[in-house]
This record gives sequence, C-alpha cells and structure tokens, in this order.
Amino acid sequence: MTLYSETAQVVRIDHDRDIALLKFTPKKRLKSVRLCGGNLMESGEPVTVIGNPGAGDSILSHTMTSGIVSNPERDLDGQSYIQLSAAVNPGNSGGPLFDQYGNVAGLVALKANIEGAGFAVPSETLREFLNTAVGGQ
Amino acid sequence: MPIEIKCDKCQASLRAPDSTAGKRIKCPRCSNILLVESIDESPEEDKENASHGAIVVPAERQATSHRPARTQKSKSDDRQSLQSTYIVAGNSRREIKLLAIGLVFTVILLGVATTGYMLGRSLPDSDKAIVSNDDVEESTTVQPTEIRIENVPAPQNTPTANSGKTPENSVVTTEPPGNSNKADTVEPVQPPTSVQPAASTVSVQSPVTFEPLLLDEPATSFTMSEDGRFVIMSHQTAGLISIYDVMADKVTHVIHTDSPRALLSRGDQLFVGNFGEGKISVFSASNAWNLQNEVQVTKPNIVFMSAACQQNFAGEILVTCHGEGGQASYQDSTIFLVDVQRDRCKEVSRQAMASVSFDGKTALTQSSFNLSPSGGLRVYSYDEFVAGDPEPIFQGGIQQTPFVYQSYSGSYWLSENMVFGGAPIALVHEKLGQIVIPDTMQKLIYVMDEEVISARHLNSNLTEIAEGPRRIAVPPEQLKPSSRLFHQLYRRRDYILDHPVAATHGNLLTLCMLDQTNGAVLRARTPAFLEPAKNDPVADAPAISSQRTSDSTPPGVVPTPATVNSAESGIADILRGWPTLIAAGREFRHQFPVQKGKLDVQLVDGPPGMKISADGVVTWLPANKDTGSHEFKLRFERSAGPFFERPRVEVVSEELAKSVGGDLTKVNQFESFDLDTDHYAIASGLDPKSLLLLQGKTLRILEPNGISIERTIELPQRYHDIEERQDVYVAVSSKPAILDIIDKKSLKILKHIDLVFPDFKVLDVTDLAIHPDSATSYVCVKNSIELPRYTVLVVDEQSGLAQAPGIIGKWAEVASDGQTLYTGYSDIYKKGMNFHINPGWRLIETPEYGNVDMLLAWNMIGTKPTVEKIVRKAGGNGSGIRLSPDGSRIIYLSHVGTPMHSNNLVGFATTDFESSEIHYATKDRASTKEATFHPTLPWVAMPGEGSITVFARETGDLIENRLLATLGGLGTDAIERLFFSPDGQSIVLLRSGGESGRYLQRIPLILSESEIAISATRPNHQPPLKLKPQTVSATELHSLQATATRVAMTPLEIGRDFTNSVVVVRTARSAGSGFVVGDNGYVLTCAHVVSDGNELTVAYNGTDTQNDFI
Repeated sequence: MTLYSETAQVVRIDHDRDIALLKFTPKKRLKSVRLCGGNLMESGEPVTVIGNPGAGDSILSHTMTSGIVSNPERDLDGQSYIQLSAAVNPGNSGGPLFDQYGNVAGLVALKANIEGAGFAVPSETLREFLNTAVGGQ
Repeated sequence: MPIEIKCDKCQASLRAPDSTAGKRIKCPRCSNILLVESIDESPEEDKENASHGAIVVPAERQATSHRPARTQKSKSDDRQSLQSTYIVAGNSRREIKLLAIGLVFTVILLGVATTGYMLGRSLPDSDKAIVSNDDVEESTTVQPTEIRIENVPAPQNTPTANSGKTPENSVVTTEPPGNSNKADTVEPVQPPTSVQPAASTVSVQSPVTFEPLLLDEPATSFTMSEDGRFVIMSHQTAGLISIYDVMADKVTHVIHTDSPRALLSRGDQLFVGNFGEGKISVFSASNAWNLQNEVQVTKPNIVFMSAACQQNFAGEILVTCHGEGGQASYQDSTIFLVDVQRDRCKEVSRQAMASVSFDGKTALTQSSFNLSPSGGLRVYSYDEFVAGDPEPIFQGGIQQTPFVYQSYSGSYWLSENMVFGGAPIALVHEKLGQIVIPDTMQKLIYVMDEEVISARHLNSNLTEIAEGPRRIAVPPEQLKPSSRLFHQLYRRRDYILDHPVAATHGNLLTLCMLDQTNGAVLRARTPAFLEPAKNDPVADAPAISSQRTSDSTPPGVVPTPATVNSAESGIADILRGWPTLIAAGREFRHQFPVQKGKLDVQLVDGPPGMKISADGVVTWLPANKDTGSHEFKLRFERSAGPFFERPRVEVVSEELAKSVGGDLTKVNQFESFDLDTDHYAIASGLDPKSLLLLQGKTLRILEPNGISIERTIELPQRYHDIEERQDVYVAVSSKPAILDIIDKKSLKILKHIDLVFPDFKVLDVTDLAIHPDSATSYVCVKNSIELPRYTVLVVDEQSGLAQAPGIIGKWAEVASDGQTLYTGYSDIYKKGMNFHINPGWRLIETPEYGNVDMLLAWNMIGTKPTVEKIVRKAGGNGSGIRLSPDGSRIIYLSHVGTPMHSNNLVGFATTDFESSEIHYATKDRASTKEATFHPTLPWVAMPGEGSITVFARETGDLIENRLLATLGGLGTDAIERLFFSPDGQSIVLLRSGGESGRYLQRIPLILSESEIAISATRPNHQPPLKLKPQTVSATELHSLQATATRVAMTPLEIGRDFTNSVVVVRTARSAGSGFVVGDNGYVLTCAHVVSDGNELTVAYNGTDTQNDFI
C-alpha cells in the first residue's frame, strides 16, 4: 500500500450544512464514488460506513462498520439528516455512508451522545451542494 | 494695576504696566512684539492713547525728566494732536532726522507729545518687573516736541535696511508718482536739540497716507486686477465701473453697465455681476475694457463671484445670488456654477456664500454671515462641491463668520483681521491689528491698526518684515468717532464681500480699501516694504520636500536664563552659557563665574561621574546610557548666604550627535512633506517597499524612506481609499458608493461597481481591504442608522457582484493567506434616558449612550463567513485596527484603550484572542488611538504628545532612545497617524498643526547593524497561494455524472470497491475522513473538519490494487 499526502485547498464550504469540497492534485487517478439517486432511504435499509476513526496518525486506518437506517429524515437544527445505527466515531466525520448498492447515501457528519446513533448529510443535499459549486453561486 | 497679557508666540504670561495700555511691548522671552490691550479709562485717557504713537517709556529712562507718571493733559493738547494728525493726513509730509541710539530701525511718529503722557507709571518692584526696562521701547525725547519715537527692535540678523538711505532718497521714494501737489513737499524737521547721544542719522518713512480717490460716484464694491495694475470699482446705483490705473495714479476708464455689484478680475478679463437681472458681463482689459461676452444666471441678484486664480482659472465661476431683503443671506441664497465659456449655469448649493481657493481645489462656504451664531465655515473638495451632495473636508470656523477668502496658493485663508490656515482649517491668528490687507503681487500681508501698518510674510508665524511698522494717516472724516473705517467697517451688521487689496510694483506699494459708509476708496502710495533676504526659514514650504525645524522649546530643556530672586548683581548671570544639550561620549566642561572666597559653588546632586572643581569648573563624561534629561543641584556660597540653582541639561545620544556632525544646534531638523487639507488614506503598496498615499484624486507613491515621492498619479476621480494589485488599483469612493478597478497603466476605469442593492443603502465607506490572491475586495460601509450600522461588503472584482454576507465591521484587515478577515466594530447605542428637573421646573431628558467595541476574526472559507474569534470589549470609541505585517498580532485602537479604560493597548495573538496577549503600557506615555507595526522588526509604536513610544511587539517591553531626536524635539503639532517607513529605518508622522497645515515628517531611527539588516529584508509576506478555483466544471465531478446502480452489494464488495475512495483530511489540529467525488482530486468532507483553517492535507492510498482492505 502506497500512501500519498498532498496539500489541499477548500473550493467551497457550507457551514450551515456542514459540507466542504476540497481540491488537491493526486499522483494518480482516483476513483469517484457514485451518489444515490433521488430516492429516499427507508428505515431498516442496511448501510455501510467507511472512515478513519483512529484519526491522528498518518496511516490510513480504514474501518468499516455496518448498520441500518434508523430514521431517513431526522431534523436537527433545521437540517435534515439520515440517522443510522452504525457505529460512528469522530474520525468518521466526512466519511461516506453507502447504501446496499454501493452508492453514497450520505456524508457522515455527527455523532449523537447516545450509543449507536450517527447522522449523515443526505446525498440529495450533497448533490445540491456540488451543483452549487459547479454553478458558482 | 498691571495688565495681564499673554505672549501669543511663546505663551508667556506677562504683566505690563498699565501705561503700556494700547501700546506695543516686546516680550522678554521671545522678543515678540505684543499689543497691550487697552483698559477702560476715562475718555480723555482714551484719546491720548488713540491719537498718539504707541510708546512705552519706563520712568527710569526719563533721564532728564523726573515727572510723575501720567500727567493730565489739557483739552487743547488733545485738539492739537488731532489737528496735527490732520495736517499729516492732508498730504503734508515731513522728513525727520532722528538719532538712532543703537537701534536698528526707527520709525518716527508725528504727534504732539508731552513727556508727561509718555510716561508710564513707575515700573513695579523689580522682582515683579517681568516687563523689564530692556523690553520696552525707548525714547530719548525730553521736550514737548512733535516727535515721538517708536523703536521696534529688529531681529538681530537683520541687515540695517535703511541705514544708508539719505533723507532725500526717502523723499523721492515716498513721493507718489503723479502727485503734483507742490504744497505737499516734505520738509525735513530738525531733531530736537536735546536728543542725545548723537548717532548716525537714520531716515524714516513718511506716514502711509490714505486719501480718497477722486470719484464721481460713490463706490459700492471694488477689486484689483490679478496683475495688481488696476483697481476696479463698481458704482452700483450709477451703473458705472471705474478703472483706476495704479501706475498712472488716475482713473483711466469708465464702463457703463447696469447695476454692477460683484466684481471679479481674472487675467485679462473683468467679470461684472449684475444685481437685478442676473447677468455677468465680461470685459477685456487689453481691448480697451470693451464688452466681450454676457452670461445669464438663473437668479437675478448676484452678490458675489469667486473663481480659481491665475493659471488655475478655467472659466468656471462660483456665483452667489441672494434674494431680496435683509434675511436673504440665510433664507434665500443660491450658489451657481457658471461656465463662462460655454454659457452654462447650474445650481450647486443653497449656502450663503461660496469662495474658491487659489488653486481651485477647494471651495469654502459660509452658512450665514456676520453676527449670526450659526455662522460656520465648510470646506469641500471643489469637484465634489460642484457635483452636488458634497461631504465637507472640514466644518467649523468661528461664530461670527466674516468674509473669508484666499489670495495665495497654499493653506492660508484671510479675513478682516484674521488668518485661517492649516488642516483642518482653523483660526490661527486673530485680532491682527484692525485690518489685514493682502498684497496681490507677493506673499505679504499688511496689518494695519489705527496708528501703524506693518508688513508680514504670510507664513505660519506671520513673520514681520524687519523694517517694522510705519505710521499711517487717514483723512479726517475717517477719524471721526462715527467712522466705520476701523472698528466698524468690517464689523457692521451687514456683510461685505470685498476686501482691501495692495500691490507692489517695483518700489511702489499701493494700498486700497473701501470705506463703505462714504462710498470712498481710500488709496495710499508708499515705498515698498523691504524684504530682507532669507529672513523666513519657516515660510510656507512649497509642495516639495523641505526641512522643517521644530521651533518649540523642548519641555525638558529649560531656557538658561534663570530668574533669580536676588538683587545682587551677577547672580542672574550665574548660569549664563549653561548648555541645554550636550553629547554623550564627549566630555562636558562648564565654568561657573565664581570667585574663591566670595562666591563658591558645590555640587549637591548630580549624575554619577560629574565633578566640580574648587574654581567652579564642572566636568562630566556622559555615556550613551545617560541619554535624556538631567537635573543638577548646585549650592552657591557667598557672604550674604547660600542659594541654590537647579540647572538642567539633556544628554543626546552619540548617534544623534554624530548625525548632525557634532553640531547640536542642528538636531531636530526633520525632512517633511506638505500635504493637502483633504482626506487622506494610506495603504501599503503591492511592493512592500512602497506606500500609497491617497488624497482625493491625487495618488502619491512613496519611496522606501516613507517621505520622498516616487510618483504622483492623477486618478480619474476622487476616492476615499485605495489598494494596489498587480495590474490594477482597487479604489472606493464614498459618495456615491462605488468600487472602481483602475488600470495602472492607462489609469482608465476598467470596472465600475456600484455598491447599490435593493433595501441596502451605503451611507458612508469606512475602510477597504483586499484579498491577497483572489479578486475579492472587502468594503466596510455604514449602511444603516440602526445597529449594527457597519457592515462589510464582499465584492467580486471580476463579476462585479457585491454581497453583504453578514460580516459586521467598521475596519477590516485580511490575513495574508486570505482565509481570515479581521474586523473592528465600533458603534454606540442608546442605553437609556436620564431625566433632570432644572431650576425652572422643566423636565430635561438626556439620552445615555453605551459603546460597542469588538474585535472579530471571520472564517472566510466557503460561502458564508463565520465568526471564529471575538473580543467583546475591545475598547471604547474605537478608531481602527492594526494587523502586524507577519500576521501574528492585532491591536484594537480606541479612545480608552484595551482593556477598556486602561489607557493601555493589547496585542492579541491572531491564533487565539483569549490567551497569549501582550500588553503595551501606553498609559501616560502614548495615545491608544493610533499604533503602527514595524515591517520587519518585532516593534510597535504609538504616538504621544510630541513623542513616540516604541514597544517590543512580543514582550511589551519599552524600547527607548531609538529616535534621532531630542526629548520633546518633535514639537507639539498633533500626530494624526504614524507609520514605519517601508525600509524600516524611519518612523513617519502625519501631523497637523493649526499653523503648519498637514504634513509628513520623517524621524530617523537609531538601529543596530543587525537591525538594519533585518529592516533591509522584505517583510514576511507569505508567498501568495494559488488562485483558488471558485467554480468547478461539472465534468470534473465524476460523482455527479455517475448514475446510481441498483445491484445489491455486500459490505465486503463495497469495501473492496471504495476503500481507496476514502481519504484522510488533516489540518494542523484535527483529522477526519473524506471521499472522492472527482477523479482528479476533488474530495467531499465536513465543513467542521476543515474550518480551523490552514495547512490542509489529504492522505490517500496510491496503490493500484484494490484489495488492501482487510
């Protein structure tokens, strides 16, 4: 496994929705994820989270956890989140939430103070954000 | 009762014998000539004072006449004196020989004198005799003769101007050309025989005699042509204009024109404003004063016209029209801009009167006239004024606003007996005699009172020409008590819009003034006042670099002549020759005039190393560490008992002594540069070794020394603030609120961005900052009359889009990486109401206000700025923020300091507002309203009163003795702004004094070699980050293109496929995850993961195999 590290810049950021788009120049071509379509997730749907919970060291410590959607439309502070039962840790922040087809259904953003509850920004919001970045608005 | 007076030059409080009332005395400290104000006396005494020369004669000097002070004078004497004056006034001239007793210049005043009323009361006891014998003017007259002497001591360096002149010469030069009245031949008058001792004969000028010009009609207004050749008089009711030729001494032309009221002469042209039909008639001097042109003004009654002078005149005239009736000047007045060539007339203002400065750059208005308590002066940029909706550069003046005009280029404005000047325009000299008369041909003014006229340079000190005053004579009708010539002419309850004028042609000076009561133009012809060469080192500096010497006495250096409360002779001189400044590193020796056994001296207290020998020789070798002011205590022993002296001396550093080649008289001479009165903005240039100085349309690029002008650029219009980019200037104007992108080469406006939105009105612009890399400007504006009133507009310079994203701030600074915007927010809010009941049982309500003063740091990454850090009580009544060039410290400036009311300042660490702050102890040392960081050294400086305090930026320690100046050597002019020169080797002060105007002044720093080396490096300007892509192409975001699949995958398959799409996002403080949304390095993550800022890295797996996940 060859690890690379590059400086990155923020292209666009949205503090209210807690999303940021970064740009760096990779040494090789990377593989982009697929975003979910417009379909709302259903409660009980299985989901997979990949992240780096052991954040801090320089080695990619990819960790995979799986769970189910607890609530596809959890409203927190005026924002809609997907509530999931998968174990989420601080280093997971920013990581992807995959649905059962390998599409990205959300961006893991928050961990509640109770066990077994995480929240992800739904893919619809991510798509909207990326479209804004494209439009420059 | 002695009369208390204050010297207007050195501020000394003096007590003069009351016999000097209404007369001139010399200030014993600075030799300034002062007029002692009259005290209320009986009418008889009044007349004495009024009708005779101003002489102060101490009784002791009346060697042959031991008369008591102030004998009563008979009525007949009184009449005789008036008559005598009348004879003088009636064109008789007398040449008088007189003895000058070591006097440089003597003016003889005619009048009937008895020694009795020349006597002052005996001087008070010597210990109270502040106005001593040497300080009052001398007279040797002992007989009741017609001769009175006024001796105005001249400056010592003045050549004896007239000493070689014979009486005959004087007669010739005094006699006006063209005057054929033989009866008026001047007869020499024998000096009184008793005058002694004999000395060389000095010729004196005849009185400056004012006579009415012979006119058929009473004059209503007058002016002088710009070349001083013609006096042009209007006779409004007769419909005539008379042209008096100064050289020919006669009226040469008469022009017929209806109801001429206002006159203006520019170049060859004479503009006559008509009262009643609103018509300006233009006549040509070279074309026999024929009518050339007529221009119509919208309102009928033209009362005044003003325009730029000489080469600055471009055909534009500001015309003041008033309606009918006594209240028209403040109820119905209109100012028009009239373009004479194009026949255009446009209303620009509703003020009572407008006049234009000599250079045409500023317009001065008056909101009302004489005796109106609301009278006030406003000064505008001319361009803004004629464009309408102007913002005054200055507002103020005095309550009883007289007619104020400018007759020369520069910062001085004149009025009846006042001089205004400086920046902001302020009254700098008032009660200058009775009348001030400008000379149109040279930068002189003549100051006239009831008895004498003197010539002064129009500079900050109004330096008097060494010749001294001449006596004047006026016709008898103007001497009547009802005369308005002096006391009332310029103080009557109406307003007049012309002023006396004078012109010097060769050796002939012609003075003219209008006596409105009699409709008479009074003209005097006299030899020109001699201008001794180079007696005026502080003359108005032209707009080039010049040396400016601080003429104030340093507070730490007490003048040597100490007052000694002993009558014993010699004691007063005991400190004679004691220096005020000595150099460090050089032995100091001083011999006291002591005599062993009779007068001995001992050193009671002094600095270490100072010795005094038995024969009165003080020796001391001060070191550089002794730099500063020292006081010694000396005990003198004599038969009558001991006495003590406490002389002071200031040790100047070796570096300072070296910089002036050891000649300590040359210290405190600083390079300076005169600025306009206008607003200013200072910004660092793109090249950190340059500075931008903006004033209106004029942009000056300063050299690394911070004071020399590398280039002067005329911008397309006036701006409030400016910043520099690679190819363009970004400039913002306040009214209207516009951000212009100006091409640096062509100076054309490339983009014109209106800062206008629906429901958002920019009331004022307070600051401008630019993003270092991307084309984004931050404009601080006042946009509301309710809190919060100050907000920051974020302007995209490319698209022209301006947004108000909710950043509050009155001042802004951008961090060098562009990711943080610092703002200072200062505002007041009404926090309550106080109620009082006054003695008349009326309820008085006074609102109570509170301050809001905050320092904020905004995270500018992304679409919506967020507050990252805040200091809530950053000060009180804020005046700005300053960010250190390396971006590490920030200061909030305010009137009360930080913490609030501490009178100190705090340097906040930009990384953390709550800890690691540095306190700068400015209290009692320096102002909390202004500060500046050194470009490379870790220094911060604040101005004090005539001083500068420097602190170590990172420790708060005082850094002392770094200025190449003595204590107090910076003078007393206010320091508005200060900045280190871009080369770091000087500190530059932007100063203003009521008299000196506004100017830059460079004070060199004392730096070690290593410090100079650091100064020479470029400031730590971080290399600009690559321009951040503001938008992304849709094709680059592959995740947006990819369609979601519906083929079920196990977690294992998902992991195998997408592990390498997940990356680590790391900042200096934290790390999180992210995933790839574009194959070329686009990653989505959480905003909170990256929001703490700088040094963002992404770590990813570069292995091609996709099976690494276990």
